Amino acid sequence: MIKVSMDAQLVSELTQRTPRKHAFHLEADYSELAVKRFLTLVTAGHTVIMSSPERFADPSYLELITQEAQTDFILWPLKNSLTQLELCAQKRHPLINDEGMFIVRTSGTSGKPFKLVLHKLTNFIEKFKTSSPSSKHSLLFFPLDSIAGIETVLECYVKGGQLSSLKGKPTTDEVWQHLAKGEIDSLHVTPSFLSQMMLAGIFQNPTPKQLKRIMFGSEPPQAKVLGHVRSAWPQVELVQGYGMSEIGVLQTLTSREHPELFNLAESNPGRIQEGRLEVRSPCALVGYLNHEQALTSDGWFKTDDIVQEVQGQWQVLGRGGDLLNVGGHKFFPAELEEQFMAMPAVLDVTIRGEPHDMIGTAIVAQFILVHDVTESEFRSKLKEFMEVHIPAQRRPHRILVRSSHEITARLKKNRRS
Amino acid sequence: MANAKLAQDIVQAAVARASRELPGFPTQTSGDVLLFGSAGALLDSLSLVSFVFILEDEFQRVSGQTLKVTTQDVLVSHRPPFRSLQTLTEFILKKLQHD
Repeated sequence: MIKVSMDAQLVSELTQRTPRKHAFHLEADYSELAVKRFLTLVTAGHTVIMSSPERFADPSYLELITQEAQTDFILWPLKNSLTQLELCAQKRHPLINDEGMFIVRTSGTSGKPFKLVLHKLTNFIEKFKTSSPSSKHSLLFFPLDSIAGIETVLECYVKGGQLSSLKGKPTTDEVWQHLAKGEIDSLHVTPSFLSQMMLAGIFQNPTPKQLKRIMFGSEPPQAKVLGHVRSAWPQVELVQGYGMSEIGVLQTLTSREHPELFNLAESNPGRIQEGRLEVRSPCALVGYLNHEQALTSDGWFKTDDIVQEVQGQWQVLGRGGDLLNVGGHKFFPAELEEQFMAMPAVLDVTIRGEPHDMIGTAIVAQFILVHDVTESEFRSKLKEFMEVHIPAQRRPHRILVRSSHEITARLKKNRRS
Repeated sequence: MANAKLAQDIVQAAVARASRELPGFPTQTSGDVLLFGSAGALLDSLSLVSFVFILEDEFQRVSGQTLKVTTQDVLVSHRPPFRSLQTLTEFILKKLQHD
């Protein structure tokens, strides 16, 4: 368990060493040290960006962040203390002020490799002060360089909850070990990780004592996986946590019968414009540091998520940029995945587009099978299934069968070739 | 001579696999069937891409070498390789000899 609080000694040292507010780039893992440094700096009015140890070890990446943010960061490795850092006056992006801010890196789609999203701490503090408590004891599942990781820490800090931490990138075994202790009441994961938990047989265990809810978000969920979780652990509430780096995690009302459907709460309303979801969030970004601004003149954020309305509720089909286009026929990977998940032999599937010389985009399907089906049996069954259920334009051109999926550093399905 | 046998083996293996796995591809074929580009051919422009992936896989499995089929191979050739099993075998033989 880690203590989610400021570091009193660090507060004192900061006050003594510098009256100015600085921008820090922290090396951040899942440790209490990283959590305390982040909280201490932002609450004291400094600006913080965090990177995983792997990224932080790459000088070219650190330089890229400096250039894109137009800000000279004070680099703070985990192994160094404040006294080992030189705190000098630096260039800052005009949007950065002395109110306590943090920056989240996200992936971009239009030329730049990523976007740097600037947030104001007080927006999140106010949100958690007024929202009802969601957990007493949660797990720091998401890395601290993601908005979900930061929200987990800030909610715990404001509401005084308890937080358990992982040793590194989450594994299903380690997450289960935490759940089995019977302390965690709220687990926030990605749908891909839920799939991995299902593959690892985690849901064959009895429902962990104390676990009240599982929140999932950041990519479209698969109804079959959610159904498996719901039938295995029926006492646990499944909550769809819609969120993005630019708007934080929004409050939702999730369908109990169909957890892949949701509405947004009044505190963060949404609307559909030309099929795409737009939202208002109390935690909307201050702005991008390396990209044109994102909010409409009246404060709506265009998510680029394509959403369909089902019986008065919403279902996210995918990000506009994820849309596959095969010979003019457009569809989302998640739609096709859902169709294949209807096959009893399929435990999980990932669909992605791959550049192809002959057709522009070739569809690649990577399957994970239930244990008692051989690959050759499955491939024959798949042929019959596709002939009946999958239109020709959606049929994958390449079929791969694997024992596990690759997931990204942000714990989502890797849809990139 | 050895390459000619190898080319036949690769094409037969690709066709056998397409029969088992490729939607719309008949479960049995015989003789020099028409594959692509003419009336009654077994492949259309979408299933051709799937067949190419299968062919590339079987080329590697049978010969141990890598094959990459490009648009140029398919369209710019004066004797289109995917027209029939015969032309495909000739194409594969050329690739084997070239390498």
